[in-house]
Amino acid sequence: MADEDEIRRVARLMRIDLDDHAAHIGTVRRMIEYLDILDRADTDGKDLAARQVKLGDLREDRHVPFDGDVLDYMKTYRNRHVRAPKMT
Amino acid sequence: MGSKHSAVQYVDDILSGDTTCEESMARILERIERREKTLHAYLSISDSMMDEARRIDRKIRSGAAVGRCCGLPVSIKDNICVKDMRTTCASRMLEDYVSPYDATVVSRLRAEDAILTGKTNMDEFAMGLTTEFSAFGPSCNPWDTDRVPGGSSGGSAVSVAGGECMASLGSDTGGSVRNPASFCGVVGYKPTYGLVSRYGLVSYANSIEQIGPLTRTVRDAALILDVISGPDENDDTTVPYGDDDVPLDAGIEGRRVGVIRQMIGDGAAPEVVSAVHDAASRLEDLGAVCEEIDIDMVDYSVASYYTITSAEAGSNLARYDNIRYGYDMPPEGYEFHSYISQARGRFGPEVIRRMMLGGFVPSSGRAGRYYLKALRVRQRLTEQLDRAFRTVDLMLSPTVPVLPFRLGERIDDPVALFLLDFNTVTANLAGTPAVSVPFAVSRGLPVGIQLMGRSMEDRALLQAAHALEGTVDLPEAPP
Repeated sequence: MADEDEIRRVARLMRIDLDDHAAHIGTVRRMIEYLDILDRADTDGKDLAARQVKLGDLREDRHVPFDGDVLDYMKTYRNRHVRAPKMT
Repeated sequence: MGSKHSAVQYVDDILSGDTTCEESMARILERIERREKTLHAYLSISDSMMDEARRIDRKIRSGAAVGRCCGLPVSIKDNICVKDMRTTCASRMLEDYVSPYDATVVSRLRAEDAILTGKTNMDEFAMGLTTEFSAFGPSCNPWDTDRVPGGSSGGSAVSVAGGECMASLGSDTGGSVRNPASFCGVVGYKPTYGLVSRYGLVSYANSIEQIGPLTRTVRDAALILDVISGPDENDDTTVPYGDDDVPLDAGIEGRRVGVIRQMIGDGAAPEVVSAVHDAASRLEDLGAVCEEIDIDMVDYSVASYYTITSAEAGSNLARYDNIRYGYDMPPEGYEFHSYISQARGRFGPEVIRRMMLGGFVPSSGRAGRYYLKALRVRQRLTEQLDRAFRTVDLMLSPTVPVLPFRLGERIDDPVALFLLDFNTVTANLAGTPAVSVPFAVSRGLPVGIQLMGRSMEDRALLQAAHALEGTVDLPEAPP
């Protein structure tokens, strides 16, 4: 069972400000309680099969020129600079 | 416009000269203007529809070759990119985002002379089953406007059922095409995983989601699927669509159909279960052989689905830091992390909850119990389906366990909403194709029947759906 502190910690990691969204904690807890049904599923402890793809089968890693100035689509682009918050 | 006025017929009428693109489009536009205030199917409407219609009329008059979707009005879910149109995903976070390119499915529709009518409403980032989680307000069910149209591609289903276009593209992660198709009385098709390119679809759960058509008839769905499917160099998961060597009306004589016992159990409404038995009986009248089958991992499919999709969504939504994508919020005076936290306040409640869930289920100390277990359930479910498909050709169930309910009735109960997905998520987890066919009307509301087929046998599934569709003659949604 997930407790409130753990849900708050995960929210912080996901950069969700729970001061505005504290009401969601109870709902998320109910969602997690429902997921606990997975404990009852008999999966035989089998290893997970992974799909393998050969490197040569992946698409070619090539530059596709964009017709236009992609920076114009950025909300934070002003006067040849991208505005961003302080990194601390 | 009757319910049987299909997209195929619409195109035929134009090509035969019975009408023009311009005249036909004017009728669609009039319908949009008359019904949109009530139904709210669209988040944005194209302003170039009539110009496009005239362009195609000129093309026809000049004798030039025209595409298979000649003049066909098609709406697009608002999480699929259309160049120079807004793609909001029904989120305030992307309210002003204008896509610089077309999704592959959109390019393919344009190449066949389809006309895009606009972008349709949905649950925010496709997380929901009613459109009530759209940041721009819900769509309403054309059969009863006090009721939900289903979701997350609710606006797409409404636009087709309400006659505001002739076909639509939605995306189906856990039933988001089939669920609204069932609630609105239209056909909804979820292709085999990989059949349709996801390039230009805003990612939610990449390992599961597919783009699929919503249409008035199965033949229309087959046409749209033919147009949008096939390999795409921009999506490495795409595969070729098989040859079109068997006609859609080949019938289903001798086909074995399994009715999934877990999907007609306690949680299903009596009228829905009754429709399934009726559908099985009608398929038997056409020569199919029906039997009940057990797929016991279905009981855990919803939990597996929400665990996997939340984890993938948590990762996909990390890109919305308001620097690369987002809205106009000045960064000055903020530290990096607090800026992102503040910006994410614009997400709606369901997205916030899924992000929290998506952070929790793969987290250290919890991953084994939730995420890895969910992957094992998915693998076992796929094995059980493979085994069952050795003895049956198709699987039958209700699309949704209940009839469309009233707006607001379930919005505060996340687990009740989870369970609406009970019959649809299996096809997504296993990657198999599935279709919802309108089959009955109960208490004035449509009931859809789901057919599921083997992976890569989409054409065989469409044949069966076409046969089932032919056994009923349903009214269209009230005008």
